[in-house]
Amino acid sequence: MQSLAFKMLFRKRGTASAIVTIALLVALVTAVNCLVNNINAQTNVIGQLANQGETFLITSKDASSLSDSHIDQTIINKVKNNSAISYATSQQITQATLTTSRGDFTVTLRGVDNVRAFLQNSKLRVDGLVSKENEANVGIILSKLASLGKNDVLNLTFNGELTQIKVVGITQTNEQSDTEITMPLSTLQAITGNSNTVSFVEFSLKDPSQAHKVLGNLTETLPPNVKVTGIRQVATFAQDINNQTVVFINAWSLTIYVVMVAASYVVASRLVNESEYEFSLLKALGAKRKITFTMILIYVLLVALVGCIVGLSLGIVGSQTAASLVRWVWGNTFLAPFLEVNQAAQILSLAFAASFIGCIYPAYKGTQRIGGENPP
Amino acid sequence: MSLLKTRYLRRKRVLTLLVILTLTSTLFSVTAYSFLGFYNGFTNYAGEESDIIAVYSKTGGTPFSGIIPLSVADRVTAVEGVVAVSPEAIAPSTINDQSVFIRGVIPQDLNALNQLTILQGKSISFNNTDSCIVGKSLADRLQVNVGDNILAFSILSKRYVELQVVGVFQSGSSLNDEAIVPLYVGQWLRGISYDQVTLVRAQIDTSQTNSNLIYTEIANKTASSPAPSVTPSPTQKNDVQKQMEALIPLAQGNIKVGDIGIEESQQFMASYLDRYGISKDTLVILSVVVLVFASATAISAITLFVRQHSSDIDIIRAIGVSSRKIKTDLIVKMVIWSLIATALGTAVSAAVITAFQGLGYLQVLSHTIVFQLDPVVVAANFILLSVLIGLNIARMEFKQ
Repeated sequence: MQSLAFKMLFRKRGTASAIVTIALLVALVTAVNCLVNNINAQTNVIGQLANQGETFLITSKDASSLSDSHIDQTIINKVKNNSAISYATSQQITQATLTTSRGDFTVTLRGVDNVRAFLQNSKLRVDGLVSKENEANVGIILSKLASLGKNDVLNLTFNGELTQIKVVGITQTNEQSDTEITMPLSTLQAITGNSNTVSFVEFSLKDPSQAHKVLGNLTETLPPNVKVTGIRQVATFAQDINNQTVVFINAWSLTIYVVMVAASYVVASRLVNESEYEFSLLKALGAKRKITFTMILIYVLLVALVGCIVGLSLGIVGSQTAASLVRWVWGNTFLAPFLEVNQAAQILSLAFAASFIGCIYPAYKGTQRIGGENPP
Repeated sequence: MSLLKTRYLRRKRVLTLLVILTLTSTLFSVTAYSFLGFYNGFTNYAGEESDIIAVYSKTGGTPFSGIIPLSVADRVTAVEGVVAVSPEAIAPSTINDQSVFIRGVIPQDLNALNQLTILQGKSISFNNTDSCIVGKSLADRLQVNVGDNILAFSILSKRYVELQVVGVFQSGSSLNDEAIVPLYVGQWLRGISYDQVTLVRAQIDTSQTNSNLIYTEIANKTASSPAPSVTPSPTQKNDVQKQMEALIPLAQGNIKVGDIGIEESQQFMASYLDRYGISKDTLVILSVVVLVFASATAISAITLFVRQHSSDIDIIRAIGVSSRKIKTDLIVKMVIWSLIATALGTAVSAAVITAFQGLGYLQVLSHTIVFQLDPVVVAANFILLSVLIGLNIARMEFKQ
């Protein structure tokens, strides 16, 4: 009896339009996801193609900045022992007060175990000499700001203690050291009294294409409380931009699923409205309210299932056809939308859930109206 | 045209139809306002007022990748009718594994163009070498406060900087999603020398000058002195520029007039989107396509609504009312409902976008999408719903 009733329901004129209603909404979500996947894939490729950088920092795992990072000073030896590394310096940074004729300035002191290597790595231009023990180099911006020149003596106050250091050169690197005082690590350690730890280790690779392998080997030799961070984070940037797009599309898709709930409500209401005769016939044949309710539910869910499958196909084929047309007209060879299996499953399940939610109330009300006399 | 005086439409069904029309309208509005929010945010990036112009490099593929000589700022300053000039170095970077745009500026010059309200801490000056101020949205996203140190890694160069957050600001522009640093810090991160910037923005007195006049003046002056010296410059300078020149080591900077463009800031940003076929019109059309896809739901709901009232309509037909009159009556009533649905849909979409924005879900290119009411979208929404209703009712056939 029930199979006969289903046949009657599915042969109704409204079934096709109900499937189309659901399918169009699913196609919309699918097509947008396909296009976003394509854009994200392109961004990822660009991110991977871009030079990942050959320079890295080793800092404490829990540090969010260099000044709150403290790592064992001996780590530099492990880095320098690695034959794949071309340059490595350990550095300590701290703040001190610089007293000049222009007034007091809070300045950053950078202690480097090899000042020459550090400044040369930054494509140094130096007016004077590179600092040695108990000497310092002043960055060009700081020198202009505080009116400092070669052979001047710096009056530095750290933790209430005054230290005097001679300026032997004014440096320009077009980096942060242009606003800092750079000196040998041992000189800074004498000022701070901390000779056990440094803030970070900076190192570069001989062959950046081997970065993954070299970093893997290096990390094995490092203590667990440190992390290695690449300086040029193209992939991270691209990934974050991609995530923003995905989150935006997901938030937007929520609106579609809400409309899908409404669509399912309309499909179920229309079925009840247009199939009063069939349901009354079923009731006359002895069908209980529960059966009528289940039938409406199954009908809507089957319509939703077919709609989802049609919509998914339509979305994928539609976006790919549109992409082919764009390629054909404008010659954009990068446009190749696609949908991943897990995304298809997600769209299918969410659309199905939305359809289920939407049809419950009209199915219940319809059952009440049609089968009022029979107990559930 | 006279409407039927009989009340043959049930209130509960009317309400249901209104809800479905509102949902359809909401979908259209959310789509359109999100897309336009992105478009407006992007095109307003360099300034939304018509008196703000941008001097940029024509060779840059994006607004962030072009490079122009800093001496252009001096040239622009010297033009009569230019009120304020802000040379800027914009650097895409990462902080705590999140994408961030860091803008190097001369703070006093930026303030002349964009008023920043300091919410916490203080503003920065050109001399604050290791400091930055962050926009409210960015501070929330990065979860940073005044006094925190942040480590920024550049994307376009092999550089990093540690900065202390000295202030959190609020602005009526996309600066809310950015960090502001002294110009030279932006130049480090962008990987350019001290005599280069990515953009020069200027506020002009539109009654005295325009972008074409400024371009012509720069071209004429450059032709008469092909290799201008940045320091000392023959052009007039304000105190801030003098202060900057005293601090930054500036070298000779050649201006290749053919490589620079000067446009109203919104047009300048819109031209980048145009290259990828994105315009306000195409985004509205895309939103209309979304509505077309969702229209089947509205059509089904309208059909259902009429069928639910078929017995009432049959009775009205039986007493001699023409089918045309009933259709007109239904269309007029439904068009009024579509007007209500448009208003409700717009209100709901504003609430949804604002809520999503508050949760940090609406970001494109690390800039927050902001809801901005657009009369074109409201009108398009109402017209499309009305057309949908009109066509659907017109094709219906009532029993004789």
